[in-house]
Amino acid sequence: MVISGDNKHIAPYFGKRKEPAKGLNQLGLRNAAEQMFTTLLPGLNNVSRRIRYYSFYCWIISHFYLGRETVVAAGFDPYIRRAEYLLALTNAIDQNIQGIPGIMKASDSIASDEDQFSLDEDYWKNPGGILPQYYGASLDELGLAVRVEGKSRLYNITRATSFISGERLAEEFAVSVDTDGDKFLAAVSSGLVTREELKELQCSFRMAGIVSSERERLLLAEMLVQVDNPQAAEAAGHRRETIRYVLEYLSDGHTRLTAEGFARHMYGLYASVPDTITAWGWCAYWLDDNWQYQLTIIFSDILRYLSGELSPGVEDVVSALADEILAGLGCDGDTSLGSFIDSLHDTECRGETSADAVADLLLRYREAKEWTADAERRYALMGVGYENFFTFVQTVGASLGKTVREFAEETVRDVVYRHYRVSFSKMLQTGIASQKFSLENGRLRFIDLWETSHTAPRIETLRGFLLDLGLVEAGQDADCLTETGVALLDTLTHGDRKT
Amino acid sequence: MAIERHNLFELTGRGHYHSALLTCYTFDPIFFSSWFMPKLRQCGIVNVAVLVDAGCYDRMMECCPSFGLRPDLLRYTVVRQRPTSSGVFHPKVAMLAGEDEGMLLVGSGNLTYNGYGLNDEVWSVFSLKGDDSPYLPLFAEAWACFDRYTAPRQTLLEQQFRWIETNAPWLARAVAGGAARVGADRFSFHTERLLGKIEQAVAGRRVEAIEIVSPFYDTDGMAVRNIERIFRPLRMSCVVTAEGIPPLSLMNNPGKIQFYEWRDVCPSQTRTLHAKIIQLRLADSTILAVGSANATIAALYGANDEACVVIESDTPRDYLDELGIRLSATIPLGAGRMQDYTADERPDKACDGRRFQLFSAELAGCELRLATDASGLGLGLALLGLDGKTLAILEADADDGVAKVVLPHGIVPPSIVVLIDCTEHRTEISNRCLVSQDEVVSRFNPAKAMRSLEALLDTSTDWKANLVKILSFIIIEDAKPSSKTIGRGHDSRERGEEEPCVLTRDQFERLRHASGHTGMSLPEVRLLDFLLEEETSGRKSRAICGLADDTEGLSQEEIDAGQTSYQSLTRREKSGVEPLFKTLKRYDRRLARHYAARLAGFHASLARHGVLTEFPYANPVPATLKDCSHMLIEAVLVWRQIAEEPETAYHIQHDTGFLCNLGAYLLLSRREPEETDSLSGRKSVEFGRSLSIYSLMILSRMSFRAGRAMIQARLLVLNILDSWYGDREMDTARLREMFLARLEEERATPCQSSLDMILDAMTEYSLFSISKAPVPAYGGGTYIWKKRWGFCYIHSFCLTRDKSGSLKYRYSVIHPGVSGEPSAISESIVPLCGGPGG
Repeated sequence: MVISGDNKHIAPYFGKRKEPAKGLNQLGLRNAAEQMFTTLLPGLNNVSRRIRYYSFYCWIISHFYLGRETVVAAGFDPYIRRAEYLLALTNAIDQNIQGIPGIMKASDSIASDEDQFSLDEDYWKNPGGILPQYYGASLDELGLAVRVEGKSRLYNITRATSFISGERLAEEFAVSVDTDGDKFLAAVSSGLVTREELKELQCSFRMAGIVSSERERLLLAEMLVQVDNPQAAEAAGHRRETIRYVLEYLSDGHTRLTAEGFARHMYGLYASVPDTITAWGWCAYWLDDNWQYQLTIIFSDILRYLSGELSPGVEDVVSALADEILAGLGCDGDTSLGSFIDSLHDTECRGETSADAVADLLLRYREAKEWTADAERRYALMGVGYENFFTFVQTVGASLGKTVREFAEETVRDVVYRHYRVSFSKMLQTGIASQKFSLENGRLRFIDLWETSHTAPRIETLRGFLLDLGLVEAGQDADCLTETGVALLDTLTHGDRKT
Repeated sequence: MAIERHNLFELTGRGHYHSALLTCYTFDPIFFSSWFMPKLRQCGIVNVAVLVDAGCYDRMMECCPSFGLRPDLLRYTVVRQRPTSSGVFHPKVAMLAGEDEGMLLVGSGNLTYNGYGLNDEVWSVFSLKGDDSPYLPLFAEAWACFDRYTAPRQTLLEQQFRWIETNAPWLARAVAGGAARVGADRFSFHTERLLGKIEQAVAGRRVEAIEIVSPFYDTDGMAVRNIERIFRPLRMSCVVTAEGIPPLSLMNNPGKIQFYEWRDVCPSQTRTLHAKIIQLRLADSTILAVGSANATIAALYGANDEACVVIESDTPRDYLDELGIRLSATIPLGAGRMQDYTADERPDKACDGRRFQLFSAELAGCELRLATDASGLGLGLALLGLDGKTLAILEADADDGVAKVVLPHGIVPPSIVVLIDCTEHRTEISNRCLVSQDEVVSRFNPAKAMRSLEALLDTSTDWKANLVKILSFIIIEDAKPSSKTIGRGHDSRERGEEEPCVLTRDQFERLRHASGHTGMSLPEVRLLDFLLEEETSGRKSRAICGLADDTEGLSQEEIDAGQTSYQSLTRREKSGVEPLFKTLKRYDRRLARHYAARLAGFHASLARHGVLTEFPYANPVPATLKDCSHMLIEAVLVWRQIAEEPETAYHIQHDTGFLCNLGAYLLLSRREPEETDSLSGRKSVEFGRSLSIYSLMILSRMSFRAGRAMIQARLLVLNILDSWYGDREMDTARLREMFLARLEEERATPCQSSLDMILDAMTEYSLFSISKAPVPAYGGGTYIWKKRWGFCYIHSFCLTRDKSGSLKYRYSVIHPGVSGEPSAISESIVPLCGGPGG
C-alpha cells in the first residue's frame, strides 16, 4: 500500500515484521568453494541427477522445430512442460524411481483411478518447466543446447562435428526410443496420455538406472569427458580430469564416493604436488570449503551461547567463546600465535567445537601457507575472485605476533559482525531475513540456531551419472568400477585425450 | 475494524523525496548502512542526517572499528545528539522531504534491525502533498524540533539543512504551532511534557478507561500512579512484558489497575514489545498518544527528549482492540504470576574515564574542525580510519569550544577522531567521533542539477556508459541543431535568461577528488573542466555549459515519458543495440559538421580565388577548452574502440572523420602561450597534452598506405609536435617519452610501419629549424612549414608569375585539415629538412 504522493495518514499501526528464514551462506564464505566446483565440474548441478535427461532434452527440443518453417516462441514453454510431465508420468509407473523432477505430482496422478491423464497439469511452478530451472544452463555449458538469441525462453540444440553436440545426442536418443518416440510425441501434441500408453513408454523413456541403449550410454559418456565448454574459444578439461580422479579414487573398490571423502582425498594426495591445475583446484576447493565449515562451527557455537543468555554484550560473547576455545585447545592464552601454530599436532580426529575449528584452521594454515604466493594467480586462472582461504592465510600470517587469546577473540568477533553484514546485504538483494541475531546498543539478541554444512560440489550428481552410465556400480559398502569404468580410466590416463 | 501492519518502504514506494532527517536513541550502523540507507536511496533520497543519542553514539563508536564497514557505505551524516534536558535523547522520527511532498513517521522503533524488523513497534505516518496539505502543521512542528535539536550547527550539517529548505520550499514556509485536523480526528506532534499535552487534550472531561502499553515503567510505578491520580479513570490497564522493566512496586499493590502480559493480549503475533501507547477512552471520544515515550517520569515529564503523536478522535474508538490488543478477551495477571516479574535493569555501559567530549568533527579541505568542551593548547588528537587503525597523531589547540588543525599533506582523510593524552600510553580522553568530510557531504546535495551531474558520474565503472551519458549533454555550438534537440541553453538564450550555475570551482574540485570518482575517466574530468572554465570565465553568453535536455534520437513516446537522450543512448548501448562504434560515429559526425562550419568561409574563399592567399581566418582563433575537450573525447572514444576491437581500426581510419577532424583542429586551434598563467591556459596545456598522446597512439595503431594517406598521417604527427612549439615543459623528447610509456602501459601493439613513421617524424622535427629557402624547381614533394598553417606537404611545382610580374612558384598543398589540394604561390618556403635531398 503506497501512500506517498498523496495526503493520507495511517495512525496508529504496528510495523510489519520480518519473518526469519533459514538461509544459506550465513558468513558469505561459501562463494569461493562454490565458484571453484562450478569451474571443476561444469555442466552438472545438484539437481540434475539423471544423465539421460541431457539426451532427452536434445531430442525433444529438436522435435519442436521439425517440420516447421517458423516457430512461435510462446509455444515452446507449453510444449516442453507437456513433455516433462509425460516423462514424469512414464517414470512414475515404477514407484522406486528417484531423481525425476515432477515425480511427486505424477505419482499422485498414477495412484489415482484415472485411466487418462492430461499433460497440462500444474506439476512445476516455473512457467518454463524444469528445463530453464534445472537443465538449461548445464545444457549450455556442455555445448548441447543454447538459448536462441533474443528469445529468452527458446532453446535450440547445437549442431557441430568437432564435439558431441546436441544433434548427435538427439539422434542417438531417437534410435534408443525407436517407434516409442512417435507415441511420445503424439501424446505431447494431443496433451493427453492413457495409462496403457504410459506402460508402453515406460521402458524406452526410463530416466533412472543404467541407460539401456549401449550406444546412447557410450555417447553420453563421451560427452561427459569432452572439453568443458566445447563452444568456448579456449576450453578447459576440468570435468574430464575430475572424472579421471574420481575413477582413480574408486579404483581400489573399497570406497563409497562422497563429496567430502573425494575432496579430502584430493587434498591429501595432491596438496604437496598438484600434478594438474584441476588437482590444485580440488585441493583449493577442499581448503575453501573446510575454511567456511570451520568458521560456521564457531558461528553455530556463538548462536548456541546466545540462545542461553539474555541479550549479552558483544564483547561478553567474544570473551566467553574465546575462553571456550582456549580451554578446548589447552592453551595458555598469552602464548604467541606463531609458536602455538608450530606446536600444533596434526590429528585426524576432529571434533565439532570452536576449539577444534580454530585448531583445524591453524593446521591448514601451517600446511598451505607456502601456497599463498601462487594462490592469487591460480585462483584467477580458475576464474575465482572471491575472498578465500588464502585471504585467511594472509590474515593469520599478519597475526603471528599476537597472542592466541587475541586471535581467538578477533576470529569470534569477525564471525559476529561478518554474519550481520552479510545478512543485510542478502536482505537488501532478496528481501529474505536470514539474521540469526540482532545487534542493538552493543547487545546481541538471539533469533535462531544454525546448522553447519559443507558445500555440495556436484560429486553426488556425478556419482549418479557414473552409475547410470554403467561405469561404476554401487556395492553394499563401496562403489567400484565396472569393466567399462576401468577401460575409461585407462583411456583418460593414457589414451587419446582429444575425445 | 482491524488495523493492518505496514512497512515504511512499502508506504513510500518509489516516492519523490530527496532528503531525510531521522532521530533515534540507539543506532545500528551496519543495519542502516547495508539495508536502510540503500532503501532510502531507492526513494531518491541522497541528503540524510541521523541524530543519535550521545550516550548510545559513544558506545557505538567504541565498537565501530569491528563493524567492518567501508567508508563508501557511510553516505549520510551521524550527529551525536545531546539531550536538551537531564534525560536521554529518545525520539524516533523520520521525516522525508521532497520538492513538493513529504512523509513523517513518528513511532517507537529505533534505527536498528530490532526497530524495523523484529520488535512490535507502533507508528503513525503522515504523507503530505502540496502546500495546502492538512498535515503541514505536523511537518512544521517536526522541522522546528530538528532545528532546535541541532542548533547551533556546524558548517556541513547547516549546509544539509539549507539544502532541505531550498529544495523543499513548502517546509521552509510551514509555520509550527498547530495541529492537523482530518475528518473526525485531530493530530498533534509533541516532543516534551507529553503528560501535560494529554491533560490539555482531556480538558477536564471524564475519563472512563486508560490503557497503557509500554515495555518500560518506573519500577515504583510513579508515572502510572500520576496518570491515575490526574485522570481518575473508572478502569485502568497496563500491559507489561517480562523482557522489559515492569512497575514492580505497583504490581505488588495494584489497587484498581489491572496488569496484562504482552504475550497474552495478542498471542498469535507477538514479538518483543517495544511499542508505547497511552489510550484514554472518554464517553464520546478517544485520545491516543503513540510514539517514543515509555510510561516513566523521565519520558512523560520532559526529562527526556521524546516524540509522540496525540490523536484525538471525536468518535469513541478502541484503538488497542483495532490493533489486535484484546484486553477484554484476556485474563489479567494474577498475584501469583506478578510475583514472577523482576526488574532486569541493565544500565547501558557508560564510556568511563573520558574527560572530554567531542561533539562533532568536520573536515573541510585540509582543515579539521572539532566542537569540543576541551580547551588548551597542544591537545593530542588521533586520526583513525574506519577500521580503527591510527592514521596520524596531531596536536590541536582548542579555544571557545572549537579546535582546529590542518592536516599535513599526504595524510588520508580520517573517518574517526579522538582526543588522547600526550603520554606514550596515548590513552583516549574523549569519546570517538565520526568525521564529516565536505567532499562526501557535497555529494548529498539534492539540487536537481547536482543530482543530474551525479547521475552522470556516479554510475558503474563502465566508462562507456558514463561517457555516452555525458556526450549527449554536449551541444556543439556551431553545429546545426537537430530538429529534435532541445537544449536548455538554447531556450534560455531565447528567453534571455541566465544559465544556471552548474558547479562552482570548489564543488568541482571536491567532485574530482571524492572517493567515488577517483576512477573517473579522462574525458569526464575534461568535460567537468570545460564546464568549470565556461562557468568561471564569464563567457556565458556563448557558453553551452548547462546540462541540457537532449532528446535527439528519441521517439515521441520516449520524449513524452520524460526520457533524455543519454538514458536512451545508454540503454541502447548497454543492451548491445548501440555499440560504441555507433556512438563514436555519431559524435564524429557532429564534430565534422562543427569543423566544416568553421572552415566554410575558407572553403568559399578558396573556391572563389582558386589559390591560397592567407590563413583560413582573418584572425586566428586560439584553441578553447571546449574545442580541445571535444577533440579529446573523440580521441578517447576512438582509442577505446581500437583497444577493445582492434579490427575496427581500419573502419575508423576510413569510415570516420577522426583524422580530418584532428587535422582541422590542429589547423584552426593554435595554442597561445601567453594564456598559460590563467586557469584556462593551464587546463589548455593539460588537455592538449592528453590529446597529443591519444592522437599519436591512434595513429600508431592505424595502417597507412604509401602515398597520400601516409603523408596525411605524417603531417598530423608533425603538427602535433609543432603545437608544442615554445612550451618549456613539453618538447619533442618529452612527448616521445610520454607516448611510448603510454603505449607500454596500454599494452598496445602498434602497427610497426606507423610507429616507425611517428618516431621518424619526431626525429626530423627535433632537427627542424625555421629557415627559409627558395623553392627549387623539382617535381617531388616536400614537407614544409607555413606560418599559421603549420606543416603541409607540397608537390607539383611550377613556375609562374604573379600580377606584378615577379617569378613565383605555384604548388599544390596537402594539409589534413583541409579538403582537397588547394594551390599556393610563394617564392620561398621553410622546408622540414633543409633543401631538396636534405
